[in-house]
Amino acid sequence: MSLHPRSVSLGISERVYRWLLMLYPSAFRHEFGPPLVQAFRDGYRDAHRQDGKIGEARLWLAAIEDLVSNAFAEWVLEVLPVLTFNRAPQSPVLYTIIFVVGAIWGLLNHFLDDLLYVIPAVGPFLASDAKFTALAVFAFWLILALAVIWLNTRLRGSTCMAGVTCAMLWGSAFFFFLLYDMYYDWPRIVATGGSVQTVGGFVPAWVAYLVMWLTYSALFSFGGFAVGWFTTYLRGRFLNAVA
Amino acid sequence: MMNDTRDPRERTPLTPAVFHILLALSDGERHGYGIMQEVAKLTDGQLRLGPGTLYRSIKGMLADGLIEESDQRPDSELDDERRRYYRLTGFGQRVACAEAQRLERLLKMAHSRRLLVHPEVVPAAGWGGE
Repeated sequence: MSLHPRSVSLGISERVYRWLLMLYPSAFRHEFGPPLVQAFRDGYRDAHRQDGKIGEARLWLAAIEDLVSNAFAEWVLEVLPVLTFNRAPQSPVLYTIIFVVGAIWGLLNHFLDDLLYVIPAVGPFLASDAKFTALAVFAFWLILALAVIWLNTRLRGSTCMAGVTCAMLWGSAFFFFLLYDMYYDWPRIVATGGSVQTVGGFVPAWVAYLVMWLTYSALFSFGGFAVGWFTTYLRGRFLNAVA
Repeated sequence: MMNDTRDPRERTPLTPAVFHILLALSDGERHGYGIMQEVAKLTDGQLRLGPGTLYRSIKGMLADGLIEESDQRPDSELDDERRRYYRLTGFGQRVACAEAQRLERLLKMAHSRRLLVHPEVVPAAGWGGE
């Protein structure tokens, strides 16, 4: 029961398999796409010759399992070098500096708020807290992005370091920003005896506040990481394009 | 060819897929599907490498210098020009030897602990006890 090279079922299966290869990262697909398809085609012909339609079905099940598990593993390998901490310099001094700078920046957000309101031209513009918060967050993102880009262009092999630096700076700043916020709000929350309205009235106010605080810290830490990762990704794409 | 001074033992232990690919290439160069067939034959069909597992292993082995792509074709009239053939490098050969020696030591240890004297207690492999 040999399969004609131009068989319809082989043609369709090959096309579907080729399309499913999109699950792999593009670099792997470009390097090994044609031999993967070739191996699938050979396997398909043999499976058909040995067991007909049942062989084809069995081959497809094995191919999908193989594809999903290996595509996942390949993506992990693709992303891991960016996220891994192994290549970051193990310098406590550097991390301490990052932490302190982040803390100062986080605390300054409050004082800066007051200072900016003193400036006549800026005060009205920052009339609402929402506007100021948006501006501060935007400035923070911009400064971090520029810092990461600078690190990436100046230092060799700084991919991980930039990502880690960014995440730590961001996380540290917001940790202290929110800690300061909490310091001011805590007495008020305690004074109300926990009677502040929360979702459904079940959750004590301090729990809700703590959850909000932790969520913000986690979210902004992740945001910093995302900036670091994205700029290093762009750098990689640029270097690949010019190589 | 560059003289590779790396210690092959540092590359061991190998994953089953990598060791079987090295075994399949130990008697000559093969293309991807040829390796898959040889591995299935060597293991009596117990290990069947999928294309993804094969080429992910090949990617790592090329990067580590265990194998290399070959330009030669056994017979260009009999084979597809586009197929990629792979062969062992000197370092790959030494790593395969180091892994085989490691497994041999392991086997001796299992022997000395009398783990190989009652083969009937080993459960049957595969679904339904093939």
